[in-house]
Formats: sequence, structure tokens, C-alpha cells
Amino acid sequence: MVAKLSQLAPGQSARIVSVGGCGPTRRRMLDLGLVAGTDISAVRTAPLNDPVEYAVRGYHLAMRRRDAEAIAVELL
Amino acid sequence: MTSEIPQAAKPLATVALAGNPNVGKSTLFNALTGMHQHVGNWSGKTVARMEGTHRIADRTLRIIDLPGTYSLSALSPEELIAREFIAQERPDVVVNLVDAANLERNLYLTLQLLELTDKVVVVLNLMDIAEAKGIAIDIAALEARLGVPVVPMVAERRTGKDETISIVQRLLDGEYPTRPLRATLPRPVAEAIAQVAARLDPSALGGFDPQWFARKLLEGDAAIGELAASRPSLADAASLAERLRRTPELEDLEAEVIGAQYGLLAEVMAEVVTRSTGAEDWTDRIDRVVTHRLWGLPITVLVFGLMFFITFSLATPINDWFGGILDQGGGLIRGFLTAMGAPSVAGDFAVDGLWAGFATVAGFFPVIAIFFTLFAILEDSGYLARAAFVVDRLMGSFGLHGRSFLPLLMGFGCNVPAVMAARIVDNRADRLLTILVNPLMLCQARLVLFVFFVGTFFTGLKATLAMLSLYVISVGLVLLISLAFKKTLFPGEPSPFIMELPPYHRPIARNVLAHAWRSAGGFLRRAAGQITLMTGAIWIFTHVPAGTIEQSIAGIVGHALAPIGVPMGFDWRLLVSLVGGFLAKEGALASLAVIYGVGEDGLGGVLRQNLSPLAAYAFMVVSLVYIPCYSTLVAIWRETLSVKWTAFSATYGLVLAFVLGTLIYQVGRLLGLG
Repeated sequence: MVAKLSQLAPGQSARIVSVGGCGPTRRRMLDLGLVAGTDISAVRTAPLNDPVEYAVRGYHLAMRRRDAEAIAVELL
Repeated sequence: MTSEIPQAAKPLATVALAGNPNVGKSTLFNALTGMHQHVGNWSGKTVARMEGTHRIADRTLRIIDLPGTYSLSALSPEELIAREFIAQERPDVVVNLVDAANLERNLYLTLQLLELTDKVVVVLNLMDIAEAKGIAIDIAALEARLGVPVVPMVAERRTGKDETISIVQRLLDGEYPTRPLRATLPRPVAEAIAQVAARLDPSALGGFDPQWFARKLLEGDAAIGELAASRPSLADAASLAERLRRTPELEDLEAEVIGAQYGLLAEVMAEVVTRSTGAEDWTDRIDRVVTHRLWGLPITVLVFGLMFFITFSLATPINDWFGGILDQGGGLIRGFLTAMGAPSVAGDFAVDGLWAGFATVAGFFPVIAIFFTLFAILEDSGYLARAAFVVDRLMGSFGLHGRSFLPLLMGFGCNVPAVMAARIVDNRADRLLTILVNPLMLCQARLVLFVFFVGTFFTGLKATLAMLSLYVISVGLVLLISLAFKKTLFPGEPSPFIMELPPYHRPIARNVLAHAWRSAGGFLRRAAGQITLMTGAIWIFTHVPAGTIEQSIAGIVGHALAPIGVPMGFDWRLLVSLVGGFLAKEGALASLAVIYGVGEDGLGGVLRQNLSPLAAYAFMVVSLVYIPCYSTLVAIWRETLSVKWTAFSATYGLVLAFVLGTLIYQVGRLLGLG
């Protein structure tokens, strides 16, 4: 089932289906290795529930939910 | 000195260091260049440019430390600088520092470097950390796949440095043929690139390779698009690229290209890396505490509060000690001038005008040096990124970025290092916003002024409330003005918050101290002359033509501006004292003492006779807001490199101060408080 990356709860893993959005933000995501077919999991959220920390390609990345909404994933 | 027979010297070679942030580039740079380094800025940018030399027997290497970047997409000034330097300056060798514990994403930058130059040495740094994580890397296999030399290194322990230098030498001497690895692009993409490249005029590409340039045009790269638009001989290729970009199979070329590159890296990783169970991960354990739902925010505030406390409790005694020495210096100057038969006014000007400026700058030195030492420790260890992560949501509500938190908080101490610290905010609009609102933070100098005024005019609970309310006004204004500026000056989408949370590691003393020294030294060198000129100018302003302040230029101007003061309940004296406050906020007290002709001990009594508590309160709020002190303005100008923004910073404060001062005084009178 396809969901938005921002819907991932801490501890859940998913595989990236596509990266939406446009412009520099999207390019930054792609550069950091968030490309279709990449496995990603949510690790934890910040105290106020946003941003979220993700584990991807062996490193950790923090993203705001509104930015993570642009990434479509399928839950594993 | 050894008495070797000098060999025939080989030409100077340029070596660029490139790599992701947090891979230890500065450690290697410091190890290679030692004391032979100098720091400047990349032209027209506020990105630090570090250059140094490394001497070997028969050769000198010029080492340029490029800004740390994840890619060469030119999304930030740092990426643009790195890309243009490699393409246009054509360094003889690029030493690409790679985090062995985070190989895949680091090699993505390597692939991008290999598109621009084949003279690359890949240095696998942090091998010890990779090992601890249970990551084993087959160096020979990686070298074979990348087609360029690979050297393992632990920069902290200085292992791998000599080997890197000898490989660099072999590359320079042409003894190391390289075959850089390139990702195979999908056929339609490759064909489109060939088509566009064929129409490019190679002499107009600013040093870039035609194939690469063509691909960037097809990707819609902003910087390359601008370059192409400015060169008539590229118009034809640019319009072809624009047409091709609209065809369905090239529609998402960016994702295709990057996907192909990461696909290739996944293959490489499978071949060269074997994983076993590593040691326990400390990072996760620390993060569970510092980003905790309940404790995360209080811990962040506590860490910065502590940093702040250490800075000022260490700086104060140093400053007092300095102050004594500076006073003696002033005495010596005065004595010397008197002995030379100079009129006493010359001594006054030399000591109270010029020497005082030097003293002001010297007073900043300990604060900046200590603050940036602690700052570098937090940044180096990886904690700063966590703090930004924890507070981002809170800051975001006011149009600010998580990383703005530290510079703003530092504003409670001193706005000069705070404005300098805004460099950690990478997006330009966010950084400008952070700089512009920073002077509204109630700094220590203003605290000195307010403690005196509150103590003079209020007692007991009223005093406590007055002091607290000033802090509330300060923070409230920062948040409200941020929101207002964000909506009006920097409209559009909020910039993204996409930030790596690197594993924690022990800060390296040498790097920390180098960082602190550079920040403090840089400020001293650039600001000393300007601040001294300014204190000299203010002295003349308040002493010329006649010896008294009332008959000086400042007094005359103060009298002329008196009508402005009326709605705020100020007479000309308070207006003139604000001129002294421009130099240093607590300077308003010294100015007032001079104007009323009393010592600072008698000032309280005189003020009580001349001012109502309401006018005194309005005066404090005006002092809080009216203009950044001169040293802060210098810092703002240096950090924005823009006269326009610096002027704006001064102007909006003046307007806001007048509005607030009037509002407080008039509403207070209506309420019968005057």
C-alpha cells in the first residue's frame, strides 16, 4: 500500500516509490539518496512531533513533515 | 634545517580538498598546512575560504579547502563555489575525503567530482569508526571500481596523511593513469546529451566539459541556465535543451540521472563492503535522551544556558584584567603627550576617543574567542544538529529555522558573536532574517544599563516586573518581527529543513581552537580599525567646537531633534545620550553622567529629579530597540556583505523605537502613570 513518508510512525520501514515536489528541495532530497527503490525507516520524532528523524542508506536525516509529504512510499 | 642539495623544484601544484560536511576535512587541512594557512572569504560570499601550503622536498602544494558539500548541484553558495572552483581553477588534484562509515552517500559526491575531473584521490577517512560499526571495506576492489587511487586514513591519528601526499605526487607526475567511473545513463538521456553537446561552443562554457554542461542544461540547472542565457553562442544549444526537456522520456531527467548514479553505487557497495555486527551505537543512546519528548527542550535550553554562562563567567575576569592594562596604557599615552608639550585636548582625544575604540575591540576578544570555542565543540560533536532538530517546530511557528535558535539565544550575551554565528543557517533568507532580528535580543550591555535604570526608578516587586517585562518585550519583538519580516521581505514557501544528524564524536581540540582563533582573529582584524575610527568620530561629535557636550555638535543636533523626544517624554539630554549608546549600549550611562555634569555615583539622583519613572521606562524600551550598537552593525555588514541590509537593520530599529517609546509614554500618561 502506498503512503506518504510523513505518515511513517517511528519504527516503521518503507520503500520509496517516487519523490514529488519540484525545484531545489526535491533536488536536495535526490542528492541525499532519496531515490525510487530506496529503503527508509522513521526513527523518532522531535519533542513537538516535527521534524522526524529517518534512517536511510546507513545514515540519519531529519526532515519536516511538510517536506516528507512529497515522498511516496510503500510500507514494508 | 638540513643541508640537502636542493633538487630541481617542480612547479607549484594546486590541491583542492573536497568532501561532505563532517568528514574531517579541517583536521586534514590543519595537519597538512600547520601554521601556513590563511583565511578569507570566497569573493562576494560569506563562505570562509581557507588556503594553505604544504612543502615537500622538491615541491610546494597549494592546498585549498573547499566548503563541505553533499553534492555539486549548486543548490547553495557552498556547492556553487566548490563546483566552479574545480571547473574553472582546474586544481591539479582533488583530494576527496570520504566518510568510510557512511560510504554510499559520500561516494555520490565522488561520482560528481569524477564528472568534472579525473585527477581525484579518494581518501577513506574515519576508518576506525567504520571498523567499530562492523564495516569492512575492500580497498583494492573499491580502487578498481572507481578507477582512481583510494587511501585509508584516520585523520585524527594522522595515519594515511603521508600516503595521501605520495599518491598526490604520483598523480602530479603523471605516474597514475586514472579511469574515472561514470554511471551509464538511460539511452534517451545519453542521446539527448550528445545532441545538445554537439551544438555547444566549447570556448563559452566557463571551463566546464561540454557533455556535463549539456546534461546540466537538460536537468534545468539554474546556474548553468543563467550562464547559457548570457552567452549568445550558447543560445541554440539552450533552446534545443529546453525543447528536449519537454519530451515525455526526458521529463524527469534529474531523478533518472541521480537514480542511475545511486544504482551504480549500490552495485559498488555490494562488491566492496562486508558488514558484521558492530559495537554498541552510542549515538542512539544519547539521542534517546537529548531528543526526548519531555526532556529534549529543557536539555537544549540548559546546554545553551550553560554555554552562555561559561562564556561570560570566563570573559568577565579576563576583561577586567585587560581593562586594568588598557587604563595604564591610556595613562601612558596621556603622560607621553603631556611630556611632548601637546595641549590637554590632544590627550583627551587620543585616550577617550581613539584608545577607547581599541579598548572596545579588545573587550570583545575574550567573549568571541570563548564563545566560538564552545560553539565549535557543540558543532564538532554533532550536538548542534540535534538542538536544531528539537527546537525547529517551535522556531518554525515564527518563520525561523531550527538552526536560528543558537544565534538568537547568543544574542542574550552579545549580538556581535551572535550575528557571526548565524552562518550555521545555510539558507540565505533564513540567515538574513536571523541576523536582522538578532539585535532585538537583550544583550549584556543593555542589561547593565537596565539594571541601573530599574534600580534608580523602581523598588521591590515593581523593579522585578520592570526587568522581566523588558525580557518579555525583547523576545516578543524578536518573534513578532521575525514573523512580519518573513511574510513581507522573504515571502514564499518556508525553506526546507533537511538536515543530516551525524553520529556523535569527540571534538578534536586542535580543530576547535583553530576555529575559535579564526573567528576571534577575523573579527579583530576587520573591526579594529572601523571601531576605533567610530569612537574617535563620536568623541569629536561630543567635544567640538566647544569643550562642553551641550555646545558640541551632538548638543546642537540634540536640541534640534528635541521635538522628536517630546512624545516619548525625553529631553535633548536623553536623545544625546543615545548617541553615546550607539557606540556601546551601556555607554548611554557615561554620556548621561557627562551631560548632567555628575559622576556615575550621582547620576541616579539627578535622573530621579529630571525624569518620571514612566519616561525612564520608555527610555529603556527605546534603548533596547533603537539601533544595533556600532560593533554589531559592523558584524552585520560583514556577514551580509550588503550595505542595503545593514542600513535597513539600523533604520527599522529607529522607527520601531520611536513608535514603541511614544506608545508607552502616551498610554502610560492616559493611565495616569506619568
